[in-house]
Amino acid sequence: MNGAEPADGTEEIEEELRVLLHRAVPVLAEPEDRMERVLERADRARRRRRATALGLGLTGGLVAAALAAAPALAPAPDHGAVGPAAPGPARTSPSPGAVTPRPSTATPSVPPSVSPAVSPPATGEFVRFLQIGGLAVTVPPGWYSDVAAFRDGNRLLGYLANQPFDVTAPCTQVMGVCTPIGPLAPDRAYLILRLVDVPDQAKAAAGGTTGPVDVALDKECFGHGGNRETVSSRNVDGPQVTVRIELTACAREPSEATLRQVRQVLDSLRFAG
Amino acid sequence: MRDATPDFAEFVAACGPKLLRVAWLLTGDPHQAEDLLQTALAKVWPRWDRIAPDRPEAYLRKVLVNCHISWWRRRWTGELPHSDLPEPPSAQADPFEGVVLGQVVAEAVRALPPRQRAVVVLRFFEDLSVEETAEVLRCTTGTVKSQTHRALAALRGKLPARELLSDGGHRERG
Repeated sequence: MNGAEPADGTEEIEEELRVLLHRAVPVLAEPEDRMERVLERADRARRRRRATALGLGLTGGLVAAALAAAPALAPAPDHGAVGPAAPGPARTSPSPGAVTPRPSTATPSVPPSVSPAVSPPATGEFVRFLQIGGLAVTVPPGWYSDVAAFRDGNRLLGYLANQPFDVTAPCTQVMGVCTPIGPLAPDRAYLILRLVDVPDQAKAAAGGTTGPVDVALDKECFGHGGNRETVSSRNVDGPQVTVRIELTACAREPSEATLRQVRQVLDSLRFAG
Repeated sequence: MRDATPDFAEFVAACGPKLLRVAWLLTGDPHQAEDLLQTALAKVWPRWDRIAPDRPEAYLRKVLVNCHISWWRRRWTGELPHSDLPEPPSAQADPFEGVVLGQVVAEAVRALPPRQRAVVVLRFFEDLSVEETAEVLRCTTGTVKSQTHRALAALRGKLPARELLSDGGHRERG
């Protein structure tokens, strides 16, 4: 095996073993949906890690129930202070041309469901994610919000960022979802809001906010140049049911001020009537 | 993002069959093999962008082998290697020779402890060098050599006779 081989037939045995191993392996069936299964496993593992970090017990049934409840929570399109009636891209912006309404071709595999309003950099006003049951969020000054939700299977996502969205940015397509933002500059962050659960109502009444806690950087955040990722969640009371909203923040070299703003976003979650 | 890195789906399509065979040799069962492969792929996928672009297969192989060893550790109390191996195939022509041969080899390899099994598969199926095998298993080359020696000693006498290979003694590198 190394240097002078002993004359005990080892080389012959090794050679026989090579032949045997290659002849022994049967023709194995290759499942056509291997990639889908792999992505499902990776998705499950990712959610498990996050649930562990947050102490959440996410179950598919509860998520399904939450999704079923979401439309009922959504206010009428013309109801509320901000929403479809709010001026969209024409509104002033501290960074000219910064906010780009997302065209429907932004994510070919995940058709976006875009509300009529795309908010400009805000001055503390709130916006609503209509597809997440009308969830309202106070947008920190200078932040951008895309009042859109991506419907991807069981996922309803809304985005906020303190740099402009960029629908032309390369899509990492993590778990089939494309975050519409380019590489993060230093002290920039994007936030993803998702409806993850309908907690037990008794617990929901007692439960408050969890996190933000640092989690391992996932591929999506890494792909956007992030070097810090946190996950937090909060029970938010709706008209009929309390839901749990998860907020994932991906940031690059975030300052304390930016982290405070992330916390402010989390604290501001509500269903505006 | 690295353009040079082959797309993950393309990589799975190209290398999946070969790695599935490695997984089968490690597990001895087609369903467990597919399970092992998918487990390894699911571990690799979130880190895909960080894997050296020229060595994704080597990285996945390492994950696959170490996944199997950790499975085996967890299932130690539940896994009992067969004590009775099937009869080695006779020298007579047998239409099921391939099936029996596979069964005999699989059982013999499966009876090895997991690290010896991994050494055998990596060195004699994947044709890795002692150094490469040591890297995959995160051990010294001395350990690989000793594990190889013990594995060959254990396999001696359990595998079909040498002359059975004479008609098909060509090496089918996979």
